[in-house]
Amino acid sequence: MDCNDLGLVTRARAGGTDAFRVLVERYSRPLFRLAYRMTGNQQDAEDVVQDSFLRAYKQLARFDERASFGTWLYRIAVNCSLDLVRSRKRRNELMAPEDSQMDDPILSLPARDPSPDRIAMSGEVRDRVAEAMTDLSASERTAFVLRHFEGMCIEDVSRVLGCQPGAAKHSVFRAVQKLRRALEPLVSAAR
Amino acid sequence: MNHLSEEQLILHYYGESDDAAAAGDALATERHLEECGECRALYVSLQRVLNVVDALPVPERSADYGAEVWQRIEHRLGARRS
Repeated sequence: MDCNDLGLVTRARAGGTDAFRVLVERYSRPLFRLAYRMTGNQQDAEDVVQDSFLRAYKQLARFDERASFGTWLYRIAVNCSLDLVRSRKRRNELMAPEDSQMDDPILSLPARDPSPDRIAMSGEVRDRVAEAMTDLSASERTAFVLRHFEGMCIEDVSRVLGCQPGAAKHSVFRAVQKLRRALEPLVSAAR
Repeated sequence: MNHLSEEQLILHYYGESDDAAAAGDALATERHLEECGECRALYVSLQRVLNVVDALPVPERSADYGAEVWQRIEHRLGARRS
């Protein structure tokens, strides 16, 4: 049995839902992480994962077999995420990490000075990071998430974004520059 | 060597080479950072900010998550595909 992505896509196109199930099981977790980074919300990320697979299944005939299935699927998930974020913005909902019981980002850093000030600051920093992420444009946020969190090279980021590598690179630049300007004062204060 | 631009430092952080740069650019950047306190300070600032961003938590999903997603969407596949 051919278990690589392309073999599974070929079988799924021929009506093999079992083959598509393997792809769903293979990509659900990474897709959830990507969707959560894009939307900042668990329920939205869940919706994006499901909608991405449904869209992918519907569009399987359009998949170019010379391309990477993973990259193609990421592109669909990014578009689903952006659609959802746009509709959420229209509802004036703000992104905020909702799981206060999860590991705190500041406390996860190498502990130079685990002082009460540092701990008190951590919740504020987390909120500011989330806020700074929402202030990025759609292309900046997408490029940054793919480059920074997913570890994609600029070339692959540009494929997902559907733009030239130079444009993808500049989106990453702008995202990092905006984040640095927004967060540098807080990071310095937390030292 | 002139000071490094913020864009050069970002590329260096991600291990990406600048199209216009020579092959030994990464080594030259490393050497410059060792010698130039101003650029080193900017690079450390960049690293600290990105470390904080990097540490933003993402909720974990179990190893069975893919099977759960499949259960949720399986019945909807037939209706979606033309």
